[in-house]
Amino acid sequence: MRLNLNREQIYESIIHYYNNNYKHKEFIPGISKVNYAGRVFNEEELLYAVDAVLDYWLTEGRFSEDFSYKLSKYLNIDNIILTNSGSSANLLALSALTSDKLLDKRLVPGDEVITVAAAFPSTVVPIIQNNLIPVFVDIELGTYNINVNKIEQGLSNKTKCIILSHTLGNPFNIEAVTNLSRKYGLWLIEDNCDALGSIYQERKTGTFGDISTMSFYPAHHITTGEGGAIACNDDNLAMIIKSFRDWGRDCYCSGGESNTCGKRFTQQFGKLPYGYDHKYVYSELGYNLKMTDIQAAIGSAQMDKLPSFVEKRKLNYCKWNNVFKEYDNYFILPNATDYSEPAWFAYPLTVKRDAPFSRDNITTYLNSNLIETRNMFAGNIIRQPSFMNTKYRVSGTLKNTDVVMNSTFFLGTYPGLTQEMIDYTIEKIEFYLDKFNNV
Amino acid sequence: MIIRKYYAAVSNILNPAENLYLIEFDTFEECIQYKPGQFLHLSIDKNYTGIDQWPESRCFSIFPSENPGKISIVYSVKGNYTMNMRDSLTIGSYVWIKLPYGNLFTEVQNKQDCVFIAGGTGISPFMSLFCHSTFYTYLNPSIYLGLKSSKYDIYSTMIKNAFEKNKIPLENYLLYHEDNEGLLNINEIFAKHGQNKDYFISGPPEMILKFVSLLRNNKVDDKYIHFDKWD
Repeated sequence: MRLNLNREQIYESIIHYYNNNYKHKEFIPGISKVNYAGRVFNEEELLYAVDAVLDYWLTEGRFSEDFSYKLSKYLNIDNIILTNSGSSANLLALSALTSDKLLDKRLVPGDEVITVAAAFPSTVVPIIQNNLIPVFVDIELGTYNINVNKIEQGLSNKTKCIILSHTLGNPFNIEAVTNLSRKYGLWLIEDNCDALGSIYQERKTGTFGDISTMSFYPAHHITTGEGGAIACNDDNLAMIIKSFRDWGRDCYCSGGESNTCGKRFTQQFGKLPYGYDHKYVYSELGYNLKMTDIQAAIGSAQMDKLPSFVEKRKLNYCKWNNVFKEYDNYFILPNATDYSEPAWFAYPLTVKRDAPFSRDNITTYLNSNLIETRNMFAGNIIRQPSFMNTKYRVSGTLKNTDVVMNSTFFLGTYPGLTQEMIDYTIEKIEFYLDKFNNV
Repeated sequence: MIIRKYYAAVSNILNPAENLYLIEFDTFEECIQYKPGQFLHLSIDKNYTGIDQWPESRCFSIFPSENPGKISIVYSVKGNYTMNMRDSLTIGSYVWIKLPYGNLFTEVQNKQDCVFIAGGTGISPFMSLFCHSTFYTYLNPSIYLGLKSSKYDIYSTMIKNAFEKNKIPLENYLLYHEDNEGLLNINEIFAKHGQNKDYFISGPPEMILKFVSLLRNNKVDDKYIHFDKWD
């Protein structure tokens, strides 16, 4: 994709810079940090990014086109809409479903949306931002996904949508959820932000929902720094999403384009005068949540590495699992959902109630040894300060969600984890846990 | 669908009648994705590099091509731009094309008894539907095509093949040669098909305006009238 203009000298300098500054990063046990996630790249990402800068087009351009195309091929999905974050992608997904263009299928204030409280905020908050009501259903421990047996009891005549993430890359029970969404005529938004590359029933996640979302924040499967995307097979829905992304504009011209539709001055919209410039016709109350071409350039280079990243994540998961299966008296180990092959975002563990240490004990210990861990996002989101005065409904209890809040943490599986880092971490984990075994 | 730009080479040019051209572009891709009825933008600007602001271009409906990596259009020379195309495009010359655009057929709900009315090269967006694997979902369609004369008919064989393949009676295809049968008559077409049918109209802007207006005067609801009228 890089243009063969007179840029060769710059390219050579970049390769030189990469080799000197990034290529051989030494890991020193006890001194270097074992991050749970991070950017994995080589000179290609730098070359693509600089190429985009040299183009100085900045807004969506040739790299956005290239990145979108690679994503659409990878997922086998017709439409990709790039966004400035995965959170924006979720916001757009929910907002688009409120469009008048969807007639009686549109979401209206007060409609309910099934989701889980053991989530990252940006899966849940767009529900509230669109004046809809989240209905929280409890999760299963091990898969950390929605308990599908409890969804039906959470439905009401106001339920219009389901939004769920594939927690930490582990697909939710898509078959059960899609069956329910079909049975009750509910929209399904598949938050695929943590799961790009995961497989369910031999098909990639992010291809099952009416809309699916992706995140390219550095912790994710590929990164553009900030960044995200929406995947959608329905052309009309994709147009609505794009409109919401681009200020609510009716016209679908990209930056630097005009009259793409060929009907710029010959249409009637709302109560505007006939022929009002289509470029300035707004049919939705939209945002500006677009990605830049520089981000897309990095994304395009990352896409070429995605299959190997996914394999590395799976491998790292197995390495952790081989260690922790020896300590299943202390931990609830992660379970891949039936018929799935997760591209694990992380390796989640729940400290059992009768373990001789708490989640905070072990994570404090690991962090003091420079081994990063994370709690599972918001824990139980309804316990967060932002939810104290927020309208929501809980279906049944959130017993397991509270367990996650109190006792779950995760280690990284990202492809930048080297064998040395893993060996060092295993040594520290075994040292910590074997103390209890010997008591 | 993902809109992409292609630096494409002219791989074939046919000039079956005066001012009528069928051009094929090689995109050097294995497969170009588009949906029936969609259109492309074509630019013959030699200075464009693919980076800067998209240059002056024109919309052309995508004409079906047997090769999935190639894209065809049909045009008639009418204004300066098409005159430039005629004069500058030769086999091997390069152009920029950008596609796919448009949603002529994506919102169609009722595919029973649709009426397709085309004038001249305006048949192109319909051709991509007729030759598409999904055409079988249109039940009992009728097609009215108006051409200047039989010399301009590069479509009938393809249409008849599509009809045969999809078991559509050949009498549903009505071809009007201006020099024999006269112009297409929307009042007659309407009289035959009535109000609650989906009408697809494609052709010169003045024809579209006139036909749409006549259908509206006959109280055909706008939701049944489909057309792409470019500026």
